[in-house]
Amino acid sequence: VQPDAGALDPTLKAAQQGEVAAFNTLIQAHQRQVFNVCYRMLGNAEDAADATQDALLNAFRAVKSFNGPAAGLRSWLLRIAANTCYDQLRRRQRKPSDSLDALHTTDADPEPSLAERLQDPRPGPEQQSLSAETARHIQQAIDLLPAEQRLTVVLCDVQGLSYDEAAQIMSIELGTVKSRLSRARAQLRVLLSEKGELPAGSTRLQQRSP
Amino acid sequence: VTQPASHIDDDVLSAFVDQQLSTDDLARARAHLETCADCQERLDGFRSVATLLRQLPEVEPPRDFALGLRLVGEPPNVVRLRRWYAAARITAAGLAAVFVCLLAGTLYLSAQPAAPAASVARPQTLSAPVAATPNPAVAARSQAAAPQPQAAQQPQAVPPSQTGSSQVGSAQPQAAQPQPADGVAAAPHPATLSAQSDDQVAAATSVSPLPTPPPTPVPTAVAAPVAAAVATAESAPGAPLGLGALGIGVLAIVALLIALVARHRLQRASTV
Repeated sequence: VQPDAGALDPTLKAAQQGEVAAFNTLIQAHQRQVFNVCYRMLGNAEDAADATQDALLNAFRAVKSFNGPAAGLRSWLLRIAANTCYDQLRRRQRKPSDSLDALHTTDADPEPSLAERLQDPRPGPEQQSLSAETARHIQQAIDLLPAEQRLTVVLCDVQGLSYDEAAQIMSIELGTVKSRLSRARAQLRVLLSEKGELPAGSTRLQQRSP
Repeated sequence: VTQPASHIDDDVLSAFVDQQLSTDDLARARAHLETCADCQERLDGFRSVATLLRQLPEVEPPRDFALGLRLVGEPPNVVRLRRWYAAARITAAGLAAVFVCLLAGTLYLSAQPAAPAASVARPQTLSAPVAATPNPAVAARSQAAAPQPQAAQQPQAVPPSQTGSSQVGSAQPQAAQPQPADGVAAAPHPATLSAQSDDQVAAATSVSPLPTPPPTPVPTAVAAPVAAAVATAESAPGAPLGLGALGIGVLAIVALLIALVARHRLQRASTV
């Protein structure tokens, strides 16, 4: 068995020559994260699945132009995914009824329907701590952010990527990442306080603060 | 010691949470935070938000997103070609349909002068007497001697004065039958006609009793005048229509060519 880097390069080369199977091997490790970024950006699993598929298809078509090291593949895929999400959000804006509906559901904060509850993301085994209700409130707050702030907070806080990688994915300066992130967090703090999610969170946190 | 005169920026506090400050900035922020409850509170706010977000559960993808061959099968240029092909094909078909309609309209309009005579005369075909007057003779003759060019001239040859006579009318539908053969046969010559009719009395009497089934008189009867009308488009009532039809026809051919080229390239692309 070859070391990772050596094994990845032939696969990348094959993918760049149009081999679908090789491409699928490449994205295998990343598709879950791509889907999760799309999910947090778009707010529901259906749109996220569509966006993920679109993004990966776009990635396949563009993989010839990917000339970075194989290690940069994740950033590259996430950039394509982010652009796909932006497109989808823009399309939503053009359909005012849809976006109005979305606003209403998030503003009114209704009880989740049975379908919604069934569709609710199942928490991973290590993340049982956060209640489904809180997760829903957080997602609703994220949905209200401007798209760029949303992406920044999804990449840095939800996905836990470094500022550097976030800057690379969004093709912006490090300082811009910082300011977008701080604005997104400030706004989320207000939104989540309104929903009563933050007091509990902040006290928990203060005990752990240095 | 820099006294905390001004509060710490949001950006700095947010970056403080992630330990993304340079050592200088970090020291300055720490010094300020020790004395400023406001900034401490804001820092806690940022930290609590970040912590909450980090606890968001990962979502299970609903399916595997590995690309299927069906999804990938067509590179963008093929997709584009396919779109061109479909569009050109539909356009060509639509233009061809319009062309046919315009052409039919042109033919109809140019046939108008001859039409009244035909419509008046035709109903009488059935009741046409067997009696051999010069005029039925013409009709019968044209049946009997179908290939003769005179037959084609018959519909146009009807002089206005004769429209009332059933015999002339009866002649027309049958006269039309042989027309496709020599449909191009041009303008009417009343003189020759009348001469012939006299000649053909005998033939007419022998043949006319046979009731030939009425053929499709209108299109055939119309063909000759129309050919003339299209050819000499001026002054004919269908002239503008005819020109339009010509233009549409050319466009249809262009669209057809585009479709053919697209299809050719598509085939080449798919074989590669």
